[in-house]
Amino acid sequence: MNSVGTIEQMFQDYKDVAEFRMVYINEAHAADGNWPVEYAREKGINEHTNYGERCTTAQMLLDEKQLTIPCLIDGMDNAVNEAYKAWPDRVFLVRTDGVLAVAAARGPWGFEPGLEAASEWLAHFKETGEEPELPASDKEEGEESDSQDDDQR
Amino acid sequence: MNKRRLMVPYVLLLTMLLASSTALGQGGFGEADADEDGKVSASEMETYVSGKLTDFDKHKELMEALDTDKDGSLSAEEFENRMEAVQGLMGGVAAGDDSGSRRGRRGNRRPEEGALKVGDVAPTFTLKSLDGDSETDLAEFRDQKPVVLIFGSYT
Repeated sequence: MNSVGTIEQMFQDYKDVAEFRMVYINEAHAADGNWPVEYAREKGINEHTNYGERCTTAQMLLDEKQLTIPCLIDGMDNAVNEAYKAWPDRVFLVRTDGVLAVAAARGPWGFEPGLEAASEWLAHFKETGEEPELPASDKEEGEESDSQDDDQR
Repeated sequence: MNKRRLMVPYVLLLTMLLASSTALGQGGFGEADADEDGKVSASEMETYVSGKLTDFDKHKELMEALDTDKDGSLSAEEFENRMEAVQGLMGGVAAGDDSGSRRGRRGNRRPEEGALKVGDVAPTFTLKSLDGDSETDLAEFRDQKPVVLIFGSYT
């Protein structure tokens, strides 16, 4: 996962005004998956076959990157991942009324813009105590172009 | 074609927004064309992309997607489409179906059905914490605090 330093920093900056949860899902680049990478092979990170494996790999991430953000583990049914269409990684911000204020694009392209959008939202919220208005148009926060997925052939 | 007209501002916007992260939009044709023969070969493209996206390994698919005149190398014009092509390859996995498991179909470019966006109600859920000591129910934060959810994995 990218940008872990930013995530931890954002957590430290805003944990007094918002809840943070990392939701650990199935691997983006498992050695035996569709998108393997070399270091996954080296570390023997394969698709999780049980909940314990998923927890172990999650712990690796937290330990190595020294993350203190609370971490939840998605069930092996991948239900929350699917509900949020989150794989491989994705940033969301839920307002106190349960509505999404940030729903970034999936994957590396949307992740950092998503973190930035969340940071801006939180900065405003922390300063003013008010939740920013939702944007008037259909454009998503943190996603630079709508319907780009629809343009895919 | 509409897509063509949208390409230039789209690429510029992506470049600006991704400047702090992946650098694929920066460094252009000249950087990719290492032997300066006026075209980018498959191996030059692989070197170029690998230097910018360390965990991208769909180089063959990328070349096929970009090499529209099928001459085995990329002209400057073909090269320009690299960001959209990479994003298409990255976003091509139908995450909603199988969450990227090995049973997934590669290259599925169906638009996501029911994709969540700003203004939608966040799906509620309850999940256990990593240490197993607690559970989090998203609904418990309603009217209490906003919640930042970061989905991801080690790799």
